[in-house]
Amino acid sequence: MEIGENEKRRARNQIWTAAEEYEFEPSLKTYDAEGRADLYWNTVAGCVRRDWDGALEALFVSFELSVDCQLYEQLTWLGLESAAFRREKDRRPALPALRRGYARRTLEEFARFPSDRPIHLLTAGRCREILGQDPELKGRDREVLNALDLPGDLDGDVLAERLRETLTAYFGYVPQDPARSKAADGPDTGKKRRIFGSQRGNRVHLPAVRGFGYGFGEHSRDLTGGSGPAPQRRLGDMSVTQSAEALRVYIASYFGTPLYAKEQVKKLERDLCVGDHKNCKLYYAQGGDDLDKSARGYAGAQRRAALKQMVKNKAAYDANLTRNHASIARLTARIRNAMLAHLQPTVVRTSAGILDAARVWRAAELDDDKVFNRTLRSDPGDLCVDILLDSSTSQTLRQETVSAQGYMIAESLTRCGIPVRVTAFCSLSGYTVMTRFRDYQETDRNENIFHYFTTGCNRDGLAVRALGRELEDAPCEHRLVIILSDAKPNDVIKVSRSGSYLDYVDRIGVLDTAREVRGVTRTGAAVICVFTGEDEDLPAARVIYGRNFTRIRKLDQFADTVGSLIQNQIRNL
Amino acid sequence: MRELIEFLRTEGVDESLLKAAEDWRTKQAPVEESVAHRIPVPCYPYYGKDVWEEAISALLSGEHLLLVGPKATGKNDLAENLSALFGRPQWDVSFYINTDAASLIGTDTLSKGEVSLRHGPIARCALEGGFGVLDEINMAKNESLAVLHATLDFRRCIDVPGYDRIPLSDATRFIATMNYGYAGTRDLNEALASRFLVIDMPPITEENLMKLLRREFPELKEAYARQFMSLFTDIRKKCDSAEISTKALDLRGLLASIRLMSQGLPAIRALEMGIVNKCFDDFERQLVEDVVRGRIPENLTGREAFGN
Repeated sequence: MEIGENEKRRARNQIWTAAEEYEFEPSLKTYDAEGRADLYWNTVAGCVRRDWDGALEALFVSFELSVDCQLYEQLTWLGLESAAFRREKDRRPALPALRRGYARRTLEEFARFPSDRPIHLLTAGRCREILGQDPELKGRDREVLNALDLPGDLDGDVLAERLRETLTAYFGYVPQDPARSKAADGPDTGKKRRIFGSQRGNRVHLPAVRGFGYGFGEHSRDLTGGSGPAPQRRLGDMSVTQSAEALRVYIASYFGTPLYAKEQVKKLERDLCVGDHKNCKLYYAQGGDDLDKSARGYAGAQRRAALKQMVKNKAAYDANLTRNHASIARLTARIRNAMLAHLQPTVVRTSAGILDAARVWRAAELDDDKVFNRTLRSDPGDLCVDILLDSSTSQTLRQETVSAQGYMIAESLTRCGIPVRVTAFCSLSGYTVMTRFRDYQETDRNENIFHYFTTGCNRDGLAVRALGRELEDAPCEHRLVIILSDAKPNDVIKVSRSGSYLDYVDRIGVLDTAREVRGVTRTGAAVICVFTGEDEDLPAARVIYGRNFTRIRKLDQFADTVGSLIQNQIRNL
Repeated sequence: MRELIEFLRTEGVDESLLKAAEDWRTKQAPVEESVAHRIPVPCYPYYGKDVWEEAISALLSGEHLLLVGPKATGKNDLAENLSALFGRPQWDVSFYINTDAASLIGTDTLSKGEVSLRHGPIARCALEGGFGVLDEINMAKNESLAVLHATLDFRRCIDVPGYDRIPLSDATRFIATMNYGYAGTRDLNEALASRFLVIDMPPITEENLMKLLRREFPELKEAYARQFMSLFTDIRKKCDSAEISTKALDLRGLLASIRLMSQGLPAIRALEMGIVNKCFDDFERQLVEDVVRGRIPENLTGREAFGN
């Protein structure tokens, strides 16, 4: 079952609401048979997290790799649902009705797709009980259902123990030692399984989204065996022991023709690569698609791969040309409307204001008191926009989208006559590379944005500092900086603090970036982040940008979001 | 006034401050009858002992106040309550991009065939000893507000070339509000900010929200009052974690919804009108709807919520 991103996010929100906290990724998200987030079950999951999470973790972990993992999980949740409902029903008056709704839907599914699997029989029995009917279960099935009907006032450890006992007594679950579970199978356990119709399957890794009652559950705990740790970012492709000049040549081969002369960059390095960015280097690239034919080896291969990506970016844009043109037209109209509404000075005739001598006679002769003029002061000065795109490997899977969206924004602003500068940043082998696709006045270079490609890490603090320096030369009174970022600074050059060297990641990187953003804000420019990161990075985004960030769920929304931000900015000029 | 003082006493506001506020009232020039109708009768009391004490102390000391906080923190309610407590007429000035000196201070107009100055709200505050509420002060251009510098600092006067010099009455105070809660809003420049004492308005606490609901709707069942309070908290948490915008975080909307329920409208429909439908993004609306459905029974009628 393919679950849509919006439904995943909705399920997560339902759980967070019930759990009353937002700083965790739920280990189970549930969906109905149609793949829609299941409000009742997700509320139960959130309540369980809030009240018993720590105590139950060991129990769920002990199911790992067991052949009956899925059965144990579902039985456990059947028990937990009853406990959570009893505990929560007085606190949430909506819960009984939601529960009855869930029971009715489940029994309808059961009638459409009858099953003799124990979990389905037990679930149907529980649903009948919820609706005040006889559970229609006999013998041991009824005993199991009763054993899984748990009170809501149990302590987490006691609750876990009760569940463990039930699984052991009726389903051959061997606590703490799943490996021995198979070996310990005696005739009794086999009989129990046959009685309940359980099938022993092969020892396989379960998919993340798997059956849950008559709907689906999405598991993010590493019980699936499929999800390893997040892939590490590539931290640089050349040894830092190489000579400084060789490294510079390597970077130049990789990123193309430099934007500034060597001396100018040296001066910038002297000014900017200080403090926490000591020992860092800067490289400003023109963002072209040139290829240094003499480039050999790794750098040459990487540059060729980058050029291929540029072609892919353009091809992907062209494949949806009509839709993209429509998007540009829409965005242009939005920005133009905002400008028309807010930038045009208007002189109106009023009964109060600056006296219009030529009309004074009207007051005396025609009793017309509108002999004054008033200029609505709505010429706020001009605006220019800087767009800073994260081009580290975290955006690798969405290169075509970033470049297309960046192009659409630049093209729309160009059509509205707003100067825009588009720069990508990443860091590689100690160099923070600023790739300038177009400058404020280069209205014919928008297509350069298709030369966007990703590599390396991102030293956000230095990139913001470098951009801040360039903002000093901005031609407009009002400056807006929009940064596309996942708020996850990460670079190989360490930060020197009282004799020790600290990694430029996590708190160190976040605080440094926050400092740099404040620095730019103090110059009067507005800095807003379009956040593309994960939930776990939200606190970092808050530290860096305060409230000045807006989150997008999909990069397709980048242009629209930037459109709204620019509209806001025009309104507030 | 008596009622408000009693309310503040029950909230535990320092008795000596209340006494000083009463003394202050008696010492000020009486309010002209023509503007007496401008002394507000607050719609809602502001809950928050510490904020009350800070605000009363500042105003008694002759300072102007800047109330800073995100949406739904009661900035305007507090301003209205303060005007009522001090018994002064109130002028509300909403700031926007076109706010200029003329719209604040005054402008020329014709009167009996002669050009004369028609006073703007700031000038009238100065003359009548009023309280000026400068709403969303950061929405105006800082350059337009420079005209207020002399008004707000120790000079306490309005002096614009071409206009009369107007000294501020001793009773005149200005209370500005400012929301920094959404991307794109600007900061106030230092020159203006330094002329105010700033109160960082905290979000209303669950306890105070409960008190507000009980006071506004005494017949609302306790259990449901608690649910509406929790609903508001849930929405605030969702806003704080950037899952939704602040459109649905609307205390006035919640109170209006409960009022609709008291008229008999089913709870879910009333909450849709007051809260859910304020989100214009479909997905966001769905998230808020989930929060409502997770709290409020689908078939709850207004009469059930009110127990009659």
